[in-house]
Amino acid sequence: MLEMTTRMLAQMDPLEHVVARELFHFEVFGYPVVFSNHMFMVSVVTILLMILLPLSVRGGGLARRGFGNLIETVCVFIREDVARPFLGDRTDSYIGYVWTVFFFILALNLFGMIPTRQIIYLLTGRENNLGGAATANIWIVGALSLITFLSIHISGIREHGLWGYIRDFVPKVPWPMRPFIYLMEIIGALVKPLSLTIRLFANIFAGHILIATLFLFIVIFRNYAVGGLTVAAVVAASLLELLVAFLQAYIFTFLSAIFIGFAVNPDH
Amino acid sequence: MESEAQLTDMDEKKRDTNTVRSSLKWMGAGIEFCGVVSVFAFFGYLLDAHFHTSPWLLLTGFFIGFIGMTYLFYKESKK
Repeated sequence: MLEMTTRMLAQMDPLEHVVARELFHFEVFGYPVVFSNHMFMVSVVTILLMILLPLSVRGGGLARRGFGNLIETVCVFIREDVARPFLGDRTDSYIGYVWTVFFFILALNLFGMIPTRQIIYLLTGRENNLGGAATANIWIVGALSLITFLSIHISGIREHGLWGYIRDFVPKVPWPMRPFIYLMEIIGALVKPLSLTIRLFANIFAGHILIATLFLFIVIFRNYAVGGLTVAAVVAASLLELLVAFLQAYIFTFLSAIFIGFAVNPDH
Repeated sequence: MESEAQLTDMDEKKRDTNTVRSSLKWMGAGIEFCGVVSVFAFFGYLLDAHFHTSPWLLLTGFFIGFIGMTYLFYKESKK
């Protein structure tokens, strides 16, 4: 029992908690495609959001109740306080993406905090790879940033036309400096999604590694005092992670709205 | 009179919120600055390797990136 509990709580390698694991694989045109636990989490969250969010805001009348009211409050906050200051009159055209990004990242962060693998192991005694923090996977966060990157430039081109967007891409500078400033802005535009990726990935990754490392103290010291302290520290770190889950979803959404806003209203 | 005072309070709050918001737009600036400077320094490094001029083109790339980004951020802050 002790051995089982120890294995359940912590592997000797804290990275075990965040690496992607293969669930199954299949072939597409002769190329192997691996379906990982993180892809499973992304699928679960997508399906849940597609069912839960429309259900929660269905009908309603003047004032919704319960979960629907919560979702509406969050949506109104994001539209009026996050998006509108930067998107202005064009808010309603782009708010769909901003809302989707917020709820998707928040749900992935929160679901990543549930120790699904350990719970299933505890209940059934079977090793499994279900669950995990998908936002601690740099490729998934990178894909989200890539979608934001495309949204920024597609919305800019949609609003101003290709030529107009290219013309307003840099601030007004003396003309000999323009090619150089264009080069810098282009590199800057490519770095922006990178900064979005690193911020979200590193925060979630670091949080999960921290908790896994704290659990290791129980295995290393094997006494009640350290065990008690570790549990208290893990509770504190988990609460911090809860804050980080909301905060990082908010920051990603906020920066996406800002970047789209700058592309839509370059003189803002 | 009372409503005027309330209006002023609301205006102040709105102004504070706008100040906070306009400062938050610089949140991603640090990584952007470092990223662009790194790319220019990397170009310099590649050219150094090609022309065997190490470390001069790397340093030139670094300083061009640094000065350029400082100028760009200065222009952005004036908007």
